[in-house]
Amino acid sequence: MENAICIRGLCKHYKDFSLENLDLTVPTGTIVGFVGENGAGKTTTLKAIFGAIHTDGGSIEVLGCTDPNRLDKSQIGVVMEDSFFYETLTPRQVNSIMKSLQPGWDSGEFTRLLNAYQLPEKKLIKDMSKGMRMKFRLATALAHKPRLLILDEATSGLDPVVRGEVLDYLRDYIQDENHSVLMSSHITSDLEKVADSIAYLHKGKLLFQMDRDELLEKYGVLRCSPEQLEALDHRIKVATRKTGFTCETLVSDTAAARRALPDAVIDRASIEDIMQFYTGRDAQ
Amino acid sequence: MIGLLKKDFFILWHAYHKNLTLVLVLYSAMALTMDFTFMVFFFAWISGFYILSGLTIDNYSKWDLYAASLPVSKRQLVGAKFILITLALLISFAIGTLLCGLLALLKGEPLMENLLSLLAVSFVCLAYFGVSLALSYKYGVEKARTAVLLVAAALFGCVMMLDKLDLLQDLTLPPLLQTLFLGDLAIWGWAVVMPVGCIAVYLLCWAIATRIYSRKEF
Repeated sequence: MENAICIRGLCKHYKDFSLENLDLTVPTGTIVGFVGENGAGKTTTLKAIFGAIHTDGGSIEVLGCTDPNRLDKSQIGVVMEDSFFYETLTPRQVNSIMKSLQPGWDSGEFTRLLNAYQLPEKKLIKDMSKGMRMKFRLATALAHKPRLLILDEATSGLDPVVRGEVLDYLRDYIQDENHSVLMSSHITSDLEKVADSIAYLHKGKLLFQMDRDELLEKYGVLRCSPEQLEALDHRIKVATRKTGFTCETLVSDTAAARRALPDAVIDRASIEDIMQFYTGRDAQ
Repeated sequence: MIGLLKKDFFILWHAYHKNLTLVLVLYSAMALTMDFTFMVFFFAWISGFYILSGLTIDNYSKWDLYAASLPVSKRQLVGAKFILITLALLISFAIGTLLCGLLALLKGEPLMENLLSLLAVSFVCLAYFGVSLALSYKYGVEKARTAVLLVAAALFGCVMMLDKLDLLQDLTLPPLLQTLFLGDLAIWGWAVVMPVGCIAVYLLCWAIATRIYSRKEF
């Protein structure tokens, strides 16, 4: 399978933060969910992909291009959390501007998306609700039918109904297996619904990138006594938190844990559980 | 490039059209009804500041980061601002020319003298805003604006002080400048050397600003 994005050994150093040896792959025709705590380096990684920052090492290949200065940006659509057109513009004006900026801009598609998201053409951005603004950004990112979508917290601020519509749109968008999405989000339940794989960035390092189903199948939350926990192979114990007389442990191999402790309760771990356990481990 | 110009036009028009109308009416009235002919030359100065404000607005909306994701080069992004300054000065020159004509008709003021002054002010503004734009890309709009204004004020203050101390008469310009701007070749100095010099400064600043912006991260 061809990759829409292939990052190898990406490094970026700031005074108080470093992105170190990051490997990340977005196979063509898939949605990759990019998760991590605030400040983990998600936005830095996304910026590096479309060349908004210079990197200190490693390689980034986007749609077959390894030089960010030569990347055909008309093939990508980007929604960043807090950067866009100034708030005194209207969708109609943005349409007029983008017609001149984006070679493949489709005004018909833009209008269709505005109607679908119930966005008035003459409403100023500053008069839109947070959810409307996000829908507007999405419509602007999608109207030129890019091959690759990069979304940074694009579903934050949207109500569940609209979030569902956006996620449906993304599922349809990759159906032809020629389009791909890299999507960072703190709403991990959204990623559990649509992402084909999950990449977890923690303090500037990629902890894993795994197929979503495999991830949710392999990781589990084991509930048992401290004595039972002792019997468990330490290699599959990610982190433990004690609650009263029992222990909650994130295990990275549910099947092995079940074999070792057949009487213990092992629940399915959500992405949120996995993140909380990893973060808690570091705090300890 | 057209899209970038459109974007700035829409934003600046929304932000400043009322202010611009007021300034236009007020300055015109002052020039035509009072003895404030110099107000005609102020349009060039004001129009450049509107364009510089566009950079502040861009910073506010983190436009540069979003622009980095669009199929426009950094050279085009900087170029659009410099072209916008040129367009703003051309428009203010057209308005100034109209007012100079009205001043000649209504008050009998010397048309050619006022037009040449307007032209000189426009070229100085071109260089001034070129420097301001380059510094704005380097240090940010607010710092750059303050720095350029302080330098201009310091220069003006020095001249005033020298004049007060009666030292200005004793100062002599270097012979080349004397000949070009005060001597027999003064017409060439003011009509050719000064505009060409200002354009050169402007183009140099354009190149420097492009270089500064190319190295920026967002």
